[in-house]
Amino acid sequence: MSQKPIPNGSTETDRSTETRARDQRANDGANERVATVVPPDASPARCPYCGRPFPTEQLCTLHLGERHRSEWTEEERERYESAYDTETNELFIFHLKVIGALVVTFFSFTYTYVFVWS
Amino acid sequence: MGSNRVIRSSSSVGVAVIRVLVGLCGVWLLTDPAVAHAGSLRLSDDPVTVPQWLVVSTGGGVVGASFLITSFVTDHETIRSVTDQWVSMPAWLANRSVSSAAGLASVVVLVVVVASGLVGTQSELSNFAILFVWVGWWAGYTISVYLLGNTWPTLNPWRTLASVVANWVPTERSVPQWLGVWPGVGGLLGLVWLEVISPVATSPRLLASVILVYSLLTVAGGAVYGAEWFRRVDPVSRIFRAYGRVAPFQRVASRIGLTVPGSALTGGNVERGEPVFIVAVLWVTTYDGLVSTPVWRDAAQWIVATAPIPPVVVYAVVMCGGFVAFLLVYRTGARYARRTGRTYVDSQVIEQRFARSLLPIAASYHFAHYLGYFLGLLPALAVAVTQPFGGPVTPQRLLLPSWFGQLQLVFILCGHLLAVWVAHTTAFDLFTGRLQSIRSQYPFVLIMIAYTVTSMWIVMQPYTQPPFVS
Ligand SMILES: [Zn+2]
Repeated sequence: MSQKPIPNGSTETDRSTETRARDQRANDGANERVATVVPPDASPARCPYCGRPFPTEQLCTLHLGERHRSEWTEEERERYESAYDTETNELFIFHLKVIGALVVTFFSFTYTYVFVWS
Repeated sequence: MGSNRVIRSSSSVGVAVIRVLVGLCGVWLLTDPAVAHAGSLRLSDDPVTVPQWLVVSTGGGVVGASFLITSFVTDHETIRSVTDQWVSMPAWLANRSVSSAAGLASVVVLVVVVASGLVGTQSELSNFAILFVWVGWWAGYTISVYLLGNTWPTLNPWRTLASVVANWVPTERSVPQWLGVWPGVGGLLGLVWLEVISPVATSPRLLASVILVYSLLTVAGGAVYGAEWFRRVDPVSRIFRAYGRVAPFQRVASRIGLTVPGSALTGGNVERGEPVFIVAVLWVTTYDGLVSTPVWRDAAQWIVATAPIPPVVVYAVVMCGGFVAFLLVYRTGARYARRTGRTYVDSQVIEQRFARSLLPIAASYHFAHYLGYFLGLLPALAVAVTQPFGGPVTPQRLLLPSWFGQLQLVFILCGHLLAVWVAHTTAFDLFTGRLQSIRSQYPFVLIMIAYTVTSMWIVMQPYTQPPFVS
């Protein structure tokens, strides 16, 4: 097992090393620049490191933990951990609903099959 | 690091939940022989049959449920670890002399195909050109591209020919930027339209002429524009490159490696026009199946009877209209992902990043559509290879077992399941936070469910000869 290069679905060898280096950087999370469009009436929270806008403060804090761990401050780390815990709780509620949806799907199909076969 | 601890404990809960759900899903599939019976509706007279609407909605249900199940995998590290497998292959596989020998061999094959089409036997089931191009190449070789890897840049005979011609005529131009992806898309739609409206799949002489015209265009284009022609314009090279991204064997620079199928769909740069081409690939595979359904036959007969439009124009209008409709649905999906995911990421970026998750779907649909055709005519192809200009042996058609139709539905489902996972990985790479990444996938999952239902319905239709064309 070795370090995985970025496959590009191509076996063409004529791509310049520059292009390949750009691919490499694009995969490097911290330097990633994603194009964004902010609605004119919104007041986004902006990442202090890369300037990416977010609709909520919580998402902005989560972004710090995902992309900027090597450069963040102690205060930001603590904020991230509490935002992460809040999201974990929301996720728990979400997953309860997902289990509900799975159960409903499962039984509605089972009953439909029973009904069709009888 | 406190946050790492948090992530690890939540992921082990996630894994436990997945185990339970996978178990449940297994029970579901076992208690569900209906999926199996349904495919055989037209193949056997099994007394226990299930209505088609129930079979197709079960397919949609399985895709929806698989999305719900993947929503439990929320740890970035776990998701990344799936796609980060890479085993390097021996270097001689990418050896230059091996690949130039393969390139030369395929030029010889191209010459034999054209000659056999022009002067060989004109019987459709024993002509080498017909069997090699449609059974060997378009069905069998394409399957190898998405199941193994994209070998087309090495094998492409026109590339070899173009590089020879380019040595004599030293011109180095580049394809105008404003053309974008459209020459490739237009070429793809045009080729599939031609395949449907003309007897190019049954008439050896016509096939050889089409190949000659394509050869002239491609060698000229390849000689003038170089590698860029094959990367941006040539629809055949583009479609193989797209399918090749699904495959487990990938080539990066001069190395070949084995990776998890589909993992090349999640990372890397996507060029601007690529989503448009991928949507075109998905649409032409659908179109190919759609025009051989009874519903299309009735609709086409009605249109031609009520309006004085030539049938080939009807086929062309539906080809273009369907493509535009597919593109609009996908674009709308990308715009809605911005809303459901509550993100400011540009919808064009979303469009580009999620487009590749459609490729396993297109590949699985091709597989379901062509595997039976390929296996059934393989003995005929084997006979034709030994006698490329016709001979005494009459070819046999292999009869496939009745459960084969059921298998087709399973293939389509597998492609959609891979697509759901690719979309999940893409979302976690692009968006922030776990809930936003999950919610951003809603529009795409809805599109995938709709497409599962449509494509399973098409595959279950009895084959009908498209009307007004041969
Ligand atoms: Zn940032």
